[in-house]
Amino acid sequence: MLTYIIRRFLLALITIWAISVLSFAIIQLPPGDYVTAYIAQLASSGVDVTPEFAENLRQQYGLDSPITVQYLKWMQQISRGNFGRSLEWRAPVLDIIGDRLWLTMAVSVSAVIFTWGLALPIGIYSAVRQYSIADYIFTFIGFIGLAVPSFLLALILMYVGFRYFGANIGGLFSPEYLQADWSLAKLWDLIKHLPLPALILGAAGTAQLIRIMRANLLDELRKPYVITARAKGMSELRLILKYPVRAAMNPFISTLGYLFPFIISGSIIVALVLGLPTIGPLLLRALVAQDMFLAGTIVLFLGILTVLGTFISDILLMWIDPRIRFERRE
Amino acid sequence: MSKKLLLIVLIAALGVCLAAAQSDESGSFLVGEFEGPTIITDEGMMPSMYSESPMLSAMVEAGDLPPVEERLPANPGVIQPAHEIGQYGGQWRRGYTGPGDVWNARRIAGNDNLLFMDYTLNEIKPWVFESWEANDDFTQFTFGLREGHKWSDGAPFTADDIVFWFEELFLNEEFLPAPSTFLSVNGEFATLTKIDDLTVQYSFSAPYPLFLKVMATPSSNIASHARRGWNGHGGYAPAHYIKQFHPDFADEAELNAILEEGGYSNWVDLVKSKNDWARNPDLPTLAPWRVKLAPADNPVYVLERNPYYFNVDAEGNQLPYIDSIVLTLAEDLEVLNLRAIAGEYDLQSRHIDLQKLPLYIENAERGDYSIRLDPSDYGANVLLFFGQTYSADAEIAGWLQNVDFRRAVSMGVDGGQVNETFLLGLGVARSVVPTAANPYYPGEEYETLYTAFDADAANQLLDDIGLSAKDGDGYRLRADNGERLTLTLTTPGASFVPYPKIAEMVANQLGGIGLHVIPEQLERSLWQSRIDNGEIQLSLWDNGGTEDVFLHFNNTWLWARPNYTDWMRSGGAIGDEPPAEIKEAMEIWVSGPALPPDERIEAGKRLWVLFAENVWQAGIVGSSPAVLGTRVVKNAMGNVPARQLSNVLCMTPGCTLPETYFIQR
Repeated sequence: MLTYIIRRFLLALITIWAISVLSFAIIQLPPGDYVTAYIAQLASSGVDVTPEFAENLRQQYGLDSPITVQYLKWMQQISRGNFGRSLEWRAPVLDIIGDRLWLTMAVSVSAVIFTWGLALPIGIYSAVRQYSIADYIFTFIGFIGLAVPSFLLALILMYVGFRYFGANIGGLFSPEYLQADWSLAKLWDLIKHLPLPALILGAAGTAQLIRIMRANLLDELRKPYVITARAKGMSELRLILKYPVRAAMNPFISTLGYLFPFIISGSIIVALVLGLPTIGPLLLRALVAQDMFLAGTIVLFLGILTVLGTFISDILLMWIDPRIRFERRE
Repeated sequence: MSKKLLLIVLIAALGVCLAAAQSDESGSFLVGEFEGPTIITDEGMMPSMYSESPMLSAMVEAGDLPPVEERLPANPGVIQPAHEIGQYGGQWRRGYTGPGDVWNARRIAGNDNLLFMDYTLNEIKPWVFESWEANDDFTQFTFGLREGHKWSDGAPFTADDIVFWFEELFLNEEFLPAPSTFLSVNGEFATLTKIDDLTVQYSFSAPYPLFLKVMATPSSNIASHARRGWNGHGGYAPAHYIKQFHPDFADEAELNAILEEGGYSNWVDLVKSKNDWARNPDLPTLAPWRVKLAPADNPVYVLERNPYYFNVDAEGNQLPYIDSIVLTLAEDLEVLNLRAIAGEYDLQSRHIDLQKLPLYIENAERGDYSIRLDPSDYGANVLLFFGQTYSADAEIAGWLQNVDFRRAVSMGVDGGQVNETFLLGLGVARSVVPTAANPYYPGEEYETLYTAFDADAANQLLDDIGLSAKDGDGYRLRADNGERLTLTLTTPGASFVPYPKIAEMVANQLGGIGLHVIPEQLERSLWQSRIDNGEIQLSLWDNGGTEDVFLHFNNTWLWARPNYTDWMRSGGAIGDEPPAEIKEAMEIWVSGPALPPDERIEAGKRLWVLFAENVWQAGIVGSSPAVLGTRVVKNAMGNVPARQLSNVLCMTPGCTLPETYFIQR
């Protein structure tokens, strides 16, 4: 067991290193560099850009040195806890990611809670009461939720919110709290703003989860051990929750590892539309602008999160599913 | 049956009436009277008493700030606002789209030009320089500073700040490998002499009559610290602050520690970052506002008033009126526009989408704002340019360089349809020459030369130049291998104008004259690098900034990059020598700034005649408010001109003096 964990841990470290090399290389792949992207942006916002301009900028940012040198420089900085300076924001990368990381967590965790809190009970219900009217209704809503692109839902809800309820457009805070320091009132303001993004981000996932849960549970319900337990007179609720549901949860836990990166990258468009100050839009912008230190750091974080998530889900699986646990012990 | 018919006729008639009424109105109430503030230079009208914002009086009483008389120069600038004397206080709320959008702030809050071009762009007025004098042959320019002028940290602003910038930054090759050509004539840089603490003198080796206008144009690299300090230019810099980051003045160990801690690549990066008005809250400035919260690690981008700003209104109230400017981040343009429609911004034209105009008008009362349109007076909001240095396919390159081919394409594009579909009919189908109000206007005939839609003439022209053979689908064939002639129309995404959508329509229209054109949308930076490499056949863009064609490089010469522009700017040392007509245009452009004003205007007209006749750029639609010309103005905002120039050269709304805007209570 311990050697297993150690081996996994070492593998994880190598994976993370590989991710850092890959992410740095991929960001360099598109033609041009940060200066090209920057000049294009300036030109399209009505600034006169002359050829001298590019020359001065490349020299300023050290973009004329080879990519390997740039990578080694970056790694050297990281080893000292300095992730570099964002070319576009002209500030240390960690300062920029700072608050956004926590807000991303808040949004994601609430979306996950919403998704799981809604999907699991409904999934169980529709499996146990298969082909009941409620099952059909949930299935119908579920498929609609799956089919509607979440950014469209976001736009519609935002317009309705503005048109009929006079709500603020997008964001996670009311304007009066944007500049305020953290306080209980600001936290409460954040909590009040969370349900909408959680609902939109969770909608598609919920529908998907309902279907998976329903299908898995239906498989389990037909197995002999359920009939045996029922024959022995076990109460129906306890029976279902304790045995088949636990077994049906298996795929959820094993995909937990992908949940973390999805939270950041899967929500980019919704976060853009809703104007959420999260990591997703930051990553997108950094990639478009070829701001390699910022994009590289975020991609590196994503990689670490995925590896970490997989690690956690392995351990959770061992805990929740005795079959895996015993296999390992042998 | 007849009743039904009557009803239909009635409804149709009503529709026509409504449409007529609407189109009638849109011209009158959305485009207002051209107006702006006046800079008072008459000695008799100077105020003798000064007052300040209550925000600052509180600080003065607390002993944190010297009184207003000590903060202002001995002779402050005096401004009569566009409408009335304003009230102090309040926040100006706006939206911005991210780190690249700091020009949002630089335009509205960075009025620290050395000289000032008034809102008509015709008259030069004193600003940071109180006085100026040129010798008879325009080789020597003497400028006078205001006595007692102070930086925003209270340190004196003197001739040393200009000399420091010129000698230690501008002429330092490591710091600026390629300094701006605005400070040189015929490739020779100016010399700068400090006469005394309040007087400096620039000398050139040859006449440079355009120099005064350059010093008054905030977009010109050497005239505004807030706008151009970040790239090492700007015309002056706070020597007392920058010296701590400059290796010639700072302690080496301390400097290395700063570089290491901040993760800067080198001292050049450090100084340019520290000299960035839009991002560094510690940087002393002369502009009306300074940055309080930088955009990087804050959810909002905040600017606050500069307590030492050197201008007052006609009654002696220190400007600006508005205490702070708050820009909230909108990650997406749709969100930004929706917020503007909801009335969450006090005044904004940047990123406001002209195509949403009906939605804006519908919600105007609810959002408590009004809409103002500012049509541009440069030639084209949408133009089609022909890459003159494209060479990958010799046959296509040959056609692109053929003037009759370009004329035919230009006549084959129906600008009227583009105007109606994408610009709500608010523009005019015209060529690339500027509008009649412009000093370089070449004459009415050039406004429509080879631009008026005429498919027959276009077809005839194409037939005559050897493109008469067509395939079964009616497309013209290449002369070299007899296959279909296929051209690519490349457009950048994410601009103020929806070029990719327009490209679909243009390609379709060109199909009408037998040209097979494929529209292709590229990510903006890829588009830029294709231009830098001379890989563009056809593309769409605008020519904003060419109101003074001698002061704007990029949009004037995009079609000639890179080989011909390199040739032009290096005086023939690198690049390729262009054909005669291009050479003539380039020679005019390069020599124009050194000509006496009258001759320069004639030269400018000639330049536009060459542009119109040679159609390197085919104008499609111009004179519309499509680019930065749709303003959302809260009804409580005062002194906002009903109409302003929409203009890069004056950093619109910079030259309408946002420091005189105020919020009514």
